[in-house]
Amino acid sequence: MSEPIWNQFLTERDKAVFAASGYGARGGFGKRPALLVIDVNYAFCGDKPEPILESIKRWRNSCGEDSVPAVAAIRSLIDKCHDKGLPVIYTTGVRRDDNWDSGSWSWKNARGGERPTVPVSNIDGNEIVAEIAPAPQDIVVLKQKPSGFFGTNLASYLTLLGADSVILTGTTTSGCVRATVLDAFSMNYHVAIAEEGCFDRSQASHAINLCDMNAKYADVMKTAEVLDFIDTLPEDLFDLPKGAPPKMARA
Amino acid sequence: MNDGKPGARIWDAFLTARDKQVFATSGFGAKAGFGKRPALLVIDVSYGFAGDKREPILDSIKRWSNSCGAESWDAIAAIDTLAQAFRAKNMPVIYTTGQNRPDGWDVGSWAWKNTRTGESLPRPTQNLDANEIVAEIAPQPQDIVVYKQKPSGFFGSNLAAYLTLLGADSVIVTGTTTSGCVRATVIDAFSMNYRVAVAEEGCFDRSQASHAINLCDMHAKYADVVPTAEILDHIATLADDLFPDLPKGKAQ
Repeated sequence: MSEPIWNQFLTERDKAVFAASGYGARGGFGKRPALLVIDVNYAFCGDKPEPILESIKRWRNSCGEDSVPAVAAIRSLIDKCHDKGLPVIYTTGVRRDDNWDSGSWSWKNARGGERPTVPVSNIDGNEIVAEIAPAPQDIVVLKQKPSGFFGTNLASYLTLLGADSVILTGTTTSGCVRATVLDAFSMNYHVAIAEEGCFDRSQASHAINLCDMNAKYADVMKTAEVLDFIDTLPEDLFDLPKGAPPKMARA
Repeated sequence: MNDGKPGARIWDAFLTARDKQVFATSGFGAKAGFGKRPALLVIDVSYGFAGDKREPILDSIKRWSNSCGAESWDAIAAIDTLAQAFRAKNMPVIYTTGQNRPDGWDVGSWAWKNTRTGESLPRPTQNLDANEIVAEIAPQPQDIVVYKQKPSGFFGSNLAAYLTLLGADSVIVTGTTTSGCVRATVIDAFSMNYRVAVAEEGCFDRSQASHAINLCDMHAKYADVVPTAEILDHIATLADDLFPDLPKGKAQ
């Protein structure tokens, strides 16, 4: 890997410790990967590309225009997975109208009461952005907490598919991507992260969480390398859904 | 962070100027507040992570590949203070530590990312078991020890069931590594709607940047990262009969 994005945030001692302690080895791809697209919805992207400090005035969770190149990278991965018949699994949030089930989320954010739907638009914050809208054979998992596995059927879907590995994209790097990577790691899936396909509202959190994940839990890789790997796979690995599920079926 | 607390936080030095603006305006970092029935969690404070004595990290990791070096022992002193305060109030103290088969089969995904993973299994050359909790804060008879194989104290363990049994509504988290098992345990506790506080001086990590930024992330979204003294003050306000059904500490 060329100079990793996190080096500028590490201390000199950190670099020496990581080099000596054996972390950051290459875990390697599995043989049957599923692509995960975590929470790439309007709440985290905003409804149009604009600088983050503008975007978060209306969308408090927005990561601003860093989402634009990430969505393009995710699009290229989705297209490749569709070509090869590999599973594409999206997550996004779901909440009661009265917000009762936001629970612990509302404790740490002073703007937690703001509804995902912004009055000036008809856009649902939990809707996956149109540029990468799920196709009929794709799978959408609705969740309430950071990890895509928490309180959902994601693990059972991966078992049903016979997947042995996941390729992670989405947002935020330090939040729901990180939490999903952790659970996938704990379940002994091989985990890869497409670096350009991840984004975050905090530049330092983005870089250091990539560092932590690459050290211990996942291979943080360039998207081009992931695409090259998918090219090497056969096209008949998976029994995917036949298509046309309820658009936002409760997971 | 808009928690109304003046003064610098350990993560300020690692954030960009834009990050500080984003955190200030996006509403994150509010004070969640303590629960009413807290349990103390002491995550993985074993010889594997602390080394067998206080020494600089780059020396310690020559023999203990997971060691966090000298900072471990400062944190252990803070954890001891908290554990004693909890015990004095008859409140639960729950430790986690690792457990693996001697043949290492169940190490699983850990082995994929670390070239020195084999060293965390028992070796005849080591005088101590890497998974043994350090003697300075050794579990007392009424304490609870949870054995785990993955970062989160909740994953594949009975920790959630024990918290339900105790009637705990909140956890106060200490231990190591801040960016690893502490962070993973905090996320699961958050996801289960427990109130979470992190005792800042009671946490340690091998990476200074990871320590600071993971405290930042947790304080922004999942937990109140507070000084140990603030937690001790809070514990002092609680009744000493909240948990009449702690383990008795001896066989029935």
